[in-house]
Amino acid sequence: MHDMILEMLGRILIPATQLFGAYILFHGHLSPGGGFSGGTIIGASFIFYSLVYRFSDKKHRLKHETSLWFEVGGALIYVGSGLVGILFGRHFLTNQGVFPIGEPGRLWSSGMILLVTLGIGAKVAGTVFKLFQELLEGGAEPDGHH
Amino acid sequence: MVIIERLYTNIYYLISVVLFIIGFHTMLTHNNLLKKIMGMNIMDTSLFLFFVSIGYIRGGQAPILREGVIQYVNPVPSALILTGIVISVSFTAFALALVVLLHKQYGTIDADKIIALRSRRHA
Amino acid sequence: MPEFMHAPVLIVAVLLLAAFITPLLGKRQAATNAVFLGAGVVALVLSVGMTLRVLAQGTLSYPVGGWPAPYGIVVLVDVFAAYSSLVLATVALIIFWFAAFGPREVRHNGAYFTLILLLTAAMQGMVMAGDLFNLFVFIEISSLAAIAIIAIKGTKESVEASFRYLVLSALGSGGLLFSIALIFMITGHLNMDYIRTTLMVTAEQYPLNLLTSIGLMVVGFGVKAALFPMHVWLPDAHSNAPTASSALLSGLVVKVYIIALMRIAYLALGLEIFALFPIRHLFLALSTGALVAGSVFAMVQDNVKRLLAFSTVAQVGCIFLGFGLFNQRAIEGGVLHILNHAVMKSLLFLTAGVIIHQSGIKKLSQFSGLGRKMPLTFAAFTIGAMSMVGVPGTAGFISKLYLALGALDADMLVFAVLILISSLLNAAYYFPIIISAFFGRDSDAEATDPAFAVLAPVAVLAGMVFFFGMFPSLMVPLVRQTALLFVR
Repeated sequence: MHDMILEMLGRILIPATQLFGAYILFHGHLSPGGGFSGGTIIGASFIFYSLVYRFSDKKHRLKHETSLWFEVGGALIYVGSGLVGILFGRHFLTNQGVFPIGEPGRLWSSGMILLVTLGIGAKVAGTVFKLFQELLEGGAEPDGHH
Repeated sequence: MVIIERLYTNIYYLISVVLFIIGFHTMLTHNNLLKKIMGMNIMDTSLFLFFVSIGYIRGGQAPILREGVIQYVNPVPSALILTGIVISVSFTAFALALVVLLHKQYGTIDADKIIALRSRRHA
Repeated sequence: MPEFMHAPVLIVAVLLLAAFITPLLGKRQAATNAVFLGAGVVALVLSVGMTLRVLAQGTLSYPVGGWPAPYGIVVLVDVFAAYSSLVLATVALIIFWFAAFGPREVRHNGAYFTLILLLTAAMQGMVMAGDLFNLFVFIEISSLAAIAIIAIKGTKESVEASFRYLVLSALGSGGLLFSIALIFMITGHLNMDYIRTTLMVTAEQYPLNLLTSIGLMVVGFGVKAALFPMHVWLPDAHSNAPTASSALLSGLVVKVYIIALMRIAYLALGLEIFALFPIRHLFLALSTGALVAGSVFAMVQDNVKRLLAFSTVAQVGCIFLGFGLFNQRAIEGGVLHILNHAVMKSLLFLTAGVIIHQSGIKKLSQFSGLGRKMPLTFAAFTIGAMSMVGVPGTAGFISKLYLALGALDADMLVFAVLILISSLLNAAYYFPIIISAFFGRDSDAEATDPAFAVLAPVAVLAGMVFFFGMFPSLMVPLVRQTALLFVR
């Protein structure tokens, strides 16, 4: 099934949603927002994308591996940036003295926080989309048999 | 007058306790599994309201350093509740997935009917 | 040993990392097993090192991110936490071993291992958390993972049981979060140390808040730890799970909540405030109910895993009894029973799983003669059962002895008698199984002992039952110091 209204709306709304999500994500340490909220918005854009295109085109479908990599990558970024502190002889998740802090008020101004926020954002976006995928398929196995 | 004033100052706590009881009751007494999940969400939301209202100050602003703002809301409860919301979302999603499975296996989402089906199989 | 300073976070981080890596490995079985078991081994090594450090240098408090309390999150490892972490790491590793090489009961081992690793990481975090909110987060992770490792079996019964567990567990979590909110309201802190010092000042002003909070907390943890009469979810959940999950759930998960509750009692509330409320009497009453009801219900079961699950209800009562009597020896007994019961109940659940897998028989009435067909498996089962009864020389004897001595110290003879009765009841339902298995008439069931790789973890657990029965002194420094945290 090909739904033109959905597709046209999607073409406008999906990039706009993702841009907004990225804005919220990158400004987590400067204004209200951050990994959870930004990640959810980006995840919502994925859901919208697959709602729009899953009727028209099989190759546009987002794969399970994509959301899995988002989830795992996000978690790895978080734990990895935590371990950097230990490598530098400080505590787990230490920010000050390990990461360059930068100038207050600018985008690059809080060292590790931006990195961690990105990790959380990826994880949350992946998870939100994964939940949607799993519930949509209603417990069907990815490899086809029940 | 005193009672009304106390009600007014504690209105968030009051409402959250009422919501908590509604959620608790829904969760325990309803047979429909979806309603149980809704009850769980009402209960969780009441707790979020309770937690956030602990740190809320009337007229307070978001705790970001800016000129001209004197009163800040305590950010700790809000930060905690963010985590709480995430937990609640995962619980809900997981519970819904289980309901989908149960519906597939038993053909119903009524707790009583599921128990009846199960005991019939055992008998 | 300064090199183990980071152990508390590293244990959790390593297990979490492994949990996130396993789903990426897909169908590569060998690599999945390697990551899974490797994480377990690393966690055990770190836990041993951390315990030695805590024994040598006292409580280890680790500020995450370098931020000191009360602004930062602090991980607080005292002797009780170190002991619990050691028990968790040891028993969990053996169960990991069984999950990797034992009979396969779930379709996707990758997903299953992820959940088990998440559960273990959350339990480790829970026993070491220094503030209430992280404790709550770990409780939620472990609850979710515990429910998922039941449902992953995919049978009708397991999904139904796990949904019931989910509803009750969510109720418990709601109560816990409410109680944490009330404590935060009257103290303004989440760090346990700061809560205790603030409560000394503010407790008098807010007695109702504190009472509500403690009530909700006991109920919340009681539901999760299956304290009688809040155990209704346990028999179905533990008996319908895959074998390794049953062992984890019965052996470790229910106890972690007891540990968390008791850590809150002395770290966050302080012993004075804990003594103000009749919590100990509640524990005594409920654990009596658990010991009697659990044993009586276990006697009438015909399904071997349901019998073991009801026996867990009784043994949880045993641990609570130790904290209810609240003197040096009773608490030592209760704390030791956490380890001993973890070892013997995992042993029993794993052997029961092996028996069911090899013979296809779940019903105790059909066990007759099976012991002669699979002697090694049933020998292991016998060892576990002997320890549950408390035969001298096995681990179960030591902890029950301490509990009974504690009851005598407290001048409450009735509880010493209760422990004796519960042992007799245990004997009344475990020994007939063994007698009919070894000496009953032959049934036509086909069954043999499984391969060595399957039995090896079971054998290690059986060895541990004897080891801790013969050399209880190994754990004495930890257990004694733990009891001293409560009885100063």
